[in-house]
Amino acid sequence: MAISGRQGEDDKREQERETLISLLNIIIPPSEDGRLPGAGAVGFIEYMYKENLDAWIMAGVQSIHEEALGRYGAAFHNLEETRQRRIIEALRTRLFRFFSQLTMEVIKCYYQDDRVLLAIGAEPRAPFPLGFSLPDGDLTLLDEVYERGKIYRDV
Amino acid sequence: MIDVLIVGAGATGAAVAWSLSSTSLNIMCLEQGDRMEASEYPSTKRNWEILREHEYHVSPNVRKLPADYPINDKGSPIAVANFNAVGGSTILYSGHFPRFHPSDFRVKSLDGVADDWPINYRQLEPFFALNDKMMGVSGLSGDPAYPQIDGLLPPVALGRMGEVMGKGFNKLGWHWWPSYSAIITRTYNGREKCINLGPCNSGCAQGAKGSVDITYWPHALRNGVKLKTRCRVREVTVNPRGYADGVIYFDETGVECRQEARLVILACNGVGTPRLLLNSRSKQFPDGLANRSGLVGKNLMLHPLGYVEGIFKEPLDSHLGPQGCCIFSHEFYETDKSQGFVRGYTMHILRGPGPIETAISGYMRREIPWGVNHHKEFAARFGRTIGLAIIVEDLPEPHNCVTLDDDLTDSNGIPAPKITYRLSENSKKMLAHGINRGREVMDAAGSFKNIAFGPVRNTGWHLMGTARMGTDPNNSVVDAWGRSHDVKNLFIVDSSIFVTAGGVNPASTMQAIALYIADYIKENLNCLLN
Repeated sequence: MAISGRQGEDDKREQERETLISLLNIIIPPSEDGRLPGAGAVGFIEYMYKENLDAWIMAGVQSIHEEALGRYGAAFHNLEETRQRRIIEALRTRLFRFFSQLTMEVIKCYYQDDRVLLAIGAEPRAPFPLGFSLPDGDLTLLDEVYERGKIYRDV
Repeated sequence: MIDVLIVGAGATGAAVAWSLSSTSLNIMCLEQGDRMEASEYPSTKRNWEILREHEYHVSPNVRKLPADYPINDKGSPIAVANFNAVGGSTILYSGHFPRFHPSDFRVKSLDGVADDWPINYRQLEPFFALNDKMMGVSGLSGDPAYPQIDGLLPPVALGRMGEVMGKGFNKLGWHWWPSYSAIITRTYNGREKCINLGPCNSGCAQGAKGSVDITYWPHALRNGVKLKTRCRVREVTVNPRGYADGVIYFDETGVECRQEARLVILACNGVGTPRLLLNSRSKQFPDGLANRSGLVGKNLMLHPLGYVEGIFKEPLDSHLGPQGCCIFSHEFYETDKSQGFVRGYTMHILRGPGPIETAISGYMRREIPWGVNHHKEFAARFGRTIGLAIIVEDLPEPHNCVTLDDDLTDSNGIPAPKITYRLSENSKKMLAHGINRGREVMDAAGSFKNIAFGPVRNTGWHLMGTARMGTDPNNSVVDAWGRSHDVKNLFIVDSSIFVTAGGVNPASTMQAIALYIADYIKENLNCLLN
């Protein structure tokens, strides 16, 4: 009995994990050309635990999971996209803060991923010690500013 | 007993400590923060954008580090931004380093508002130059907005975005110029040149940005100044004759200590200084030290800041380069009464945000959505966004003030400051004018979409006016040399002594004034110490 109870818990946890991954890929799906991964494939779950975000995120995910079961009798991640969107729409008002905060965290995790940074043209590294190169710019553009003469007031 | 006690190791405390260290005086500085470690700055880490939201956040109320004290700024649309460490707010400032204009010291005479300063640009000019030399300043001579400024290192790279904006200003026939930046673009005084790390405003790991922990302090310490960190001063004490005789402070273990001194210099910024004075009550000074005028804490000026952001079709690599330094415009700096307001403002071009900030701000504005369009909308903004800050000169008004909060205290139980501030009609008109001109120049530069708003909340870096300078003891806190009218051996050297705010970042001017005051102290040592 205890073992099957634990098994049930594990199954539920796995389903909620799958729900989260589906949700992440709805927030940021893979790009159509395949260059950018979906947010479900950038290690968000590890990020969530590392940043101690799991309590509120998994509570929100549980609400989504329960809504899917109640409405369609199936786990969220097993639903077709139209139904998934309907569930999110139905929960949007009640879970507004959750969706908003989750999106922020997804963005923070997503735009630190090497594949993502390379695909958007950013180098996947800390700025220091290599820094970046920039063109000095054309200072002759200032000629006309200089020629217009002084604009400060004498006192 | 020491000769000189300086409270605060930030921009002005460092400058005055260094200047006085050329004497044989026994000098000590107490700083509530710690020494910074450049190798720990966010730009050394992959998650540099995230760190700026926490321990390197601009607001002490968010950071809540042991060095920070809380500030009740609920009564102000502008929240105080600062940093508490050896180096003070220069650790997090962007290094934008323009000087006040000559006209900024003659506001009453020229424009009939506020007051004239008892000092002027010409008097400060040698100290501006000396400060530039100590800090390492880049820029370009020949700027028509200023009297000649020499000795500058080559300007920071404009990048493609700087050129695009320069062309936009040219199209309108408006002034613009490469930023004066406390960022070295050549190896200088043993410091390595700028390599465009980007987030200068969370500490410069390269040491190219002139924060005073790496400019003034090494020299001052070598000359024998003692710097004690994690020491928070509770009050300045006075002897029965009404002279400052030292301070009471809490050391890093929370133990209350006393340090006696013959001369006390406050360099705690426009919020920290009035807080300390108001907390220093005694029989002689029941309303706070040096406050017989009743003006300690009054006339707070914060530089309301407007923001315009333009999005461009072409890639500009706008996310690269020193975040707060590129080009600026003083087209609308000097008073033109036909505009419907007096005084003026700076238009200050900012580099674009990094990827995380691009995506978050786009999401919050409902421009970067969930779903397949996320990538398209992100790509349309990242590296193609340019910011423009409008730095508005607010005028001194007594109701804008720093007082002590009735309930809020810091970790040592010292009453915290409370900010009360509202924008005047003049400031509102100026802000609106600046935002409209900002949109105009963005359009001229080729932006296809602009976002504009103001005042921006977390931008209260420039804390001025709360212990103003003047010749009349009834109408000012300190005299023309930063010396308290009421307590003759108490000096204030930070921007709380500003009479008016100018329309530029104040760091260069407040350090020049600190050096000028230090010179006065050196010239009058015998009189001051005896």
